Amino acid sequence: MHAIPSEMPAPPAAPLALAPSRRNTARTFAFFSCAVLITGVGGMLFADLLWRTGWSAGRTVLLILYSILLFLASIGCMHGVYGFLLRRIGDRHRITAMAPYRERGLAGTNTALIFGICNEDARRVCENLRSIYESVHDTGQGEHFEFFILSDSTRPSCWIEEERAWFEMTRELGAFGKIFYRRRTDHAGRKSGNIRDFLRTWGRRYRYFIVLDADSVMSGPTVCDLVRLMEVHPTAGLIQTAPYLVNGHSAFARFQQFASQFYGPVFNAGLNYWSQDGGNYWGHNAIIRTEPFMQFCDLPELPGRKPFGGQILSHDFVEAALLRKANWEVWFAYDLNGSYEEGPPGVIENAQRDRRWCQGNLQHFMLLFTRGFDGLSRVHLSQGILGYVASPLWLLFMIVSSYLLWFHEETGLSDIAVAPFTPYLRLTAAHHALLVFCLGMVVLFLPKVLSILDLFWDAERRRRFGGVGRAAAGVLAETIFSTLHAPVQMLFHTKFVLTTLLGVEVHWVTQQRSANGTTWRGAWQQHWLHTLIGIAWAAFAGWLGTDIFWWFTPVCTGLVLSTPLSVLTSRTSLGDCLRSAGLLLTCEETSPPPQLTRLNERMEAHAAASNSRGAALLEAVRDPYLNALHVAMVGDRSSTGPAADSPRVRTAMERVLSADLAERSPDDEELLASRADLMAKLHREYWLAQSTPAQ
Amino acid sequence: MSARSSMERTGAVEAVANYLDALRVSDPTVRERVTAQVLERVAETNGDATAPLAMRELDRMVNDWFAEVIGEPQPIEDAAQLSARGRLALLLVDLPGRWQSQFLQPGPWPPDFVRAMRESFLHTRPNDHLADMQPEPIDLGPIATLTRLSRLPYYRILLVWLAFALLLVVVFRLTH
Repeated sequence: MHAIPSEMPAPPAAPLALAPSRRNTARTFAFFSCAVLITGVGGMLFADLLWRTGWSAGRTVLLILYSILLFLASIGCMHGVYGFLLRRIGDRHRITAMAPYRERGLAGTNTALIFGICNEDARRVCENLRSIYESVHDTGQGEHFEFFILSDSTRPSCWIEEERAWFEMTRELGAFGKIFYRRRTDHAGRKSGNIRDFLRTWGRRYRYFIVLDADSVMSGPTVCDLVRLMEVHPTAGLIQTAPYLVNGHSAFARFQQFASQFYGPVFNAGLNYWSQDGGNYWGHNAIIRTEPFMQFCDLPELPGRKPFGGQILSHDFVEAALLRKANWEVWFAYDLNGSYEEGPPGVIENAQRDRRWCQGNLQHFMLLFTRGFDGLSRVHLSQGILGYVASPLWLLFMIVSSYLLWFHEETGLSDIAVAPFTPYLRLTAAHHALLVFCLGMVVLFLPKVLSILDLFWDAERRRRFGGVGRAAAGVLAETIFSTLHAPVQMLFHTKFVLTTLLGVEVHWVTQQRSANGTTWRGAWQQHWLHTLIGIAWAAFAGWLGTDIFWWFTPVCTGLVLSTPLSVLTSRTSLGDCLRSAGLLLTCEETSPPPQLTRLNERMEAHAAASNSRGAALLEAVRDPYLNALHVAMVGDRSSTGPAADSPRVRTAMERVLSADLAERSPDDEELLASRADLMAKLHREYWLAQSTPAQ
Repeated sequence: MSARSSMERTGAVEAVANYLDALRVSDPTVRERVTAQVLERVAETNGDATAPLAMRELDRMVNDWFAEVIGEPQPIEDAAQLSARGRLALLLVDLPGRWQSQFLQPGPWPPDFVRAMRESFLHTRPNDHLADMQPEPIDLGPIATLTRLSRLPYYRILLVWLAFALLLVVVFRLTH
């Protein structure tokens, strides 16, 4: 018996039009004005520096690029500064502090937790779901929640593994009727289409739904708190949590998760300062009010051709903007703990993920001027776009700088520096250049310093990061790594932006990973061009002069070392070494929550057992129970297709029964696995064939 | 018994044992009983027991038993589907853990077992509550004009020429 009613209670009335409050406007103005101020001062200093050796068109281009890049860096810096200050003086304008919610009961609420997956590791997904399920039930509020695995998997082996993992988990938990599994045969709309299919079919059963990714984990208390927050804020349409990266073992993943957890709270406090109820949605680890989402967030296709037209790829930003457009609030509950996700294990996997995100974010350009969108929604969309466009701009800045230096060298112009147009500075040209450089460094690194300072006011956090000394050493290591990684990222992103604009598909060479990370060969295939560019640029800078060579060294070093950087940081052995040395420790490592500890223990047990598992399709043919389970789950959907005795089906069945993997094609597997009648027949024929002596 | 018959019989016993392993039937008494039943039925109908004959007989016996226990309407049109339905019921009632002794036993069976087998149902999804969702058109504002431009013939070629002209201007400005 479970408490979810068959129909969702009457939805709350849509909120009246929300005019931007004076508080929100003031906050936005104050925040971005600081970034403009820094950019203005920096831009003036830089313009003055360029002025000293005579103006030219190239210098105009350089100044524009510098100002754009400095503005973006200043916004990042301001997140750190505002976040640091707010954590000291407190901010009442956050959703968790605006009204008491902890005492609110969940009676009458019903919430679905949905895992949208596509060809993921089924065991990992189910263990994540199990950990949330158990944690929710430990709170005593389990009756108000139901769980869904919404599969979009296309590979038969994946979906058979999903069925098996779902069944075993659900039976162990005694949760039939509480944890559901559904696989789509039509994959229209990808992830957003998957969620829409869920909403069209079952959305009316639930007042709220929580979207989770395959690698998402949330604690039960956090899940319950999200529902309580929605209940006490009836105008909130969506509340996004801040998922922190966990479970990283490679050095790269540990760098990322340290950065996420160490800088994250400070940055997130700054982000909430200006976004307030005009927040953003990151696609997972967020709770959504079902009714307005169903009413306002079904995404239309964009006019025109790819890459900008067609289906909206990065749906999350747009859904948040549509909710805002319909006067629903979107909040960022950045101070709710217990929300986690996992990051990519290496540089190449990170770039592969960025490739997908890049196309989706660039597509948002189409929506920037949409009528009715909230101003803050446009800021979020712009930031997403600039996050990728900044890379080609940085590259262009470097190219124009190099060109100007070469032009200066080639023409044999003298270095006579005229007085700056800001004469009160009284700086030599060299000191002037140093001042511009230092300003840039302060803008880039101040948030990191403030994150270290933040530890002095938080003893618990200080202890969890291994003390101030270790945390500072971690920041230093992470800074060195990110300095080397940034130029590689710049070239990757530039390639992604250009290929997206040109509508060219990027074909990745199949990732070659050993048990311990990226192989040298695999890394070289991805980074050889980066290495050559780095060597060529360093040689060019050296030819121009020793001083210039040193200016370009940080960028060129990262490019030249891209292959070893990619290989070494993908290794778990290096990650383990860093951990043994007490570097890059995170809260979840020094004080692991029992939920994550149990999850990791189970995953280790599965890793040990997984070696004995055969190919999933053959397993589903051979094993009487798995076969019966699969036949039942494929069910009625399987009546169409070629007849069971057609040559096409006979050939496919013979190939599967021969257990010759080389002979089997993905089409054969899909044909058989998607038909209940054929799978039931195959099981019978398999066992009869096993008893027949070979001819 | 000839050496060949003995080998064939061993093959038949092994084939039955393999399927019982796959069903996780580990109780020696049950295994012995089922094997004997199969060999006896094969001997009655075909004479010498061979592995293929034993498996066919086992398949038939299991399906007949499923039909009786589950109470599926006779005649069974698709033996493979009935078999799958029966095996799913065994999985859901946890035959390996609770009911091994009942496997292929003639009735009457314990009422709990019969009820569990007949009422076993795989609850993969809740009842549908269908709703309609329709995307609302988005007014893209000035961008809509650009999308209309993209429908012009040869717009890509024109864009490339425009980009080339811009490049010439930039090169000229940078070098003069």
